[in-house]
Order: sequence, then C-alpha cells, then structure tokens
Amino acid sequence: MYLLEQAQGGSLAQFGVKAENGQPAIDDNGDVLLYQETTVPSNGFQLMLYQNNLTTFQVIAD
Amino acid sequence: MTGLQAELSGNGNGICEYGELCVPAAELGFDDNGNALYFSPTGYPTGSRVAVTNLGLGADGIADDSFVISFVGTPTGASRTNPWLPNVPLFFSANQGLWTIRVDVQNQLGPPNAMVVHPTTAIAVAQIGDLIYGYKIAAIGVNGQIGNAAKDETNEFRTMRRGDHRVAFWASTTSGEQMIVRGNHLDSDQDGLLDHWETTGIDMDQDGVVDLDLPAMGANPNVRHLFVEMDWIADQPGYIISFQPVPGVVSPLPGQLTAPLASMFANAPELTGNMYGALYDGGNPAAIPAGITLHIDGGSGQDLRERPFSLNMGAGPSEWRRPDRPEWNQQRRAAGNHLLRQA
Repeated sequence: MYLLEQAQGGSLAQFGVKAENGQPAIDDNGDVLLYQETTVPSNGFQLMLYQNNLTTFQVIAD
Repeated sequence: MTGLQAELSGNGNGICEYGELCVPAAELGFDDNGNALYFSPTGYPTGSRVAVTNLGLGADGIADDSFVISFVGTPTGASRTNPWLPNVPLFFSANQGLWTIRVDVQNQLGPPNAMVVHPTTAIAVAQIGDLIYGYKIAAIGVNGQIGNAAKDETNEFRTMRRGDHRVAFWASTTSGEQMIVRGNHLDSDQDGLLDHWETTGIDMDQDGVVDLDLPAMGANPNVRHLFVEMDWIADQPGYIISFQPVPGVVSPLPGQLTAPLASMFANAPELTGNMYGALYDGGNPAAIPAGITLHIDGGSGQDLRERPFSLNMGAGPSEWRRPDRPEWNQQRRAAGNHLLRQA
C-alpha cells in the first residue's frame, strides 16, 4: 500500500495538467519533473520541476 | 515480458527448465476458485516504461543491495474476495495498474554462499477503477516513475531503508480530470509496518475510514513494533486441560516486570551499519533503535492471575470482536501477524 501525497498543512497536493500523456519523472530527492503542454503559446510545452514538498514549482524549460 | 513459470511435468525439482512442460506460476496468488493469478502477457501497455531503483547496501557491487522494479501491468484476474465486502477484491482488481516488485540480493547462508535474488510478491500502487481522493482512475501513465526516498518532506536527508521508494504517475479520471500523483512506500524502522500505517492507521479498503488504528495501539514509525493476534483452542468438554495462556506467557509471573516473551523482544539489539540503511550523501546511516515492542491481542479476557491476555494494545482491545463490525477482524488479519498457540 502506498501513501498518496498530501502537502504540508493537510491540503491535497494535486495540480491540474494539460498533457495527453502525462510523463512525470521522480528523482531520489522526491522532486517530480513534469512535461506540460501550454495554451500560451498554443501547442507549446514546458518542463516543470516540483520540488520535494510539491507546493512550488519552477519552469526549467519552455 | 514473460512471467514466472512453474514446472508442470519434468524432473520434479519445481523449476521450469528447458524441454519441460511449464505453466505460468501463481506469482500473484490464487483467486476465489483456486486459479493461479499472474500478469497477463497481453496486459502490458505498448511503450510503457519499466523503471528500477537501486539502494546500495552492504558489500560493494550489487551484493546485499535492494531493488524495486515498477511497471504497468494487468493481472489475469482479481485477487480473492474480501470475505466481509462482497464483490470487493481483498488485494487487487483485474484492471491494469501500476505495480512494484522488490528484489533483494543476498548470499546463501551455507556453502557455496552464492549470490541469489529474492523477489517479493508484486503489489499494486494504483489500478484503473481505484479511487484517489474520490476521483475514479480511468487511465495511468508513467515515464520515470520510481526513485529512492533520499529526503524527507522537509528536504532533509533521511536514512534510506531496504524497500523504501517513491513513485510518481499520471492519472486521468472518469470525470475528466488529470492529476499527477506521488506515492510513498517507506518503512523507516524496518518492522514491516509502513510509516504511514504507523502514523495514521491502515485503511484496508480505501474507503476513507481507518480500519486498523495502529497509532492508537502505540505504533511509532521509528521504533520497531510487532503486533500478534493470539488465539487458542476453547476448553473442550470432557477434557480437564485448558489451552488458554497461563500466567507467564503474556503476563509476568510474580517477581517479573514483564513476561519472558515480551522481554526477549524488548532486548533485541540495535541494528547499525550499511546493511540496514544508507544516506544519499554517503554519511553514516542512522541506527535502528534497540528493542522491539511486542503487542499481543489476546482479547479482553484474563488469565488465572487475573492479568490481561492482551499486552500493549492501547485502544485495541476495546475493538476486540465487535459484533457490529465483523470486517474489522478480517481486515486486521490481512495486515497483521498471527500466532496460533498449542499446548
């Protein structure tokens, strides 16, 4: 059994994405790298890095 | 992928060898009708990645290491039914899902002390049809879905233990949402009870209600605990002997602080060194503290010295065999250890 993550403070760490085939990757530190399509610009994409606590992210490529 | 194979006829050594007639092994157990369950050869999605994480422990190389393999697959059927919840599988459904298998590398205890791998039974992370916070999963996608658990939630390095890992996957829901989910599988004290079981209890059927309240019974994710349910044969008509535990089994005898059984576990040594954990920065792993707290659920009765049959159960005995909630006992047994005592 797995514990599905909750952010600190008890709120659900859940974030909407726009990706026909979501491709999250996780590293040993618990950071989650996510590919996301963008609406502005249309049909663009960006790579977002959600760090370990899953409460903030950085766009590391777009 | 081809799953494990079991020898059907051949030289009788139980290993599927070239030229022998073999069938898929029951790598996922058996269903209600006794049929072997395994991963369907056609149930692996095209282009879905298998991901592996490795925790280096003990000797150099892969000796003593632990691996966790993660993949999307589909069982040939659902697990046996939960006896108290009709039509609900006890462990997994027949749907496609994300799974993990832990594999430990060990050496044989006797000559030739060869290196061997010990895979554990696959466990489902999430399957299509499961509920995640009220959303029903319609599809699952993965890329690099597994990693070690090198840091805690505050971003500090933690000692990684055998079997610890995190997973991340994408899921769409039947109501049109998409989400990225990260899951933890951590056992910081290596007592076989996952950390979140020991902090929040076990919700066996994922209905949002804790079925087994381990923290109320004293569980702690950083101290080893052993929970044992103890049953015995009822007194039989015509026999003068009784099978119930005598004083000294659970309760201490006069002059003892604790019964010998509890003392034996309490005196378990500290576990130190790189066989029991690793730090990502190469530092010395934290020791697993000495002592195992024994919890015995022997019900609410008392022995001949009017001492409880139960030990260290906290709020547990108040739940004992509640007639209004029979599934509680079944679900507890699915998660716990079971001691059958005979005279």
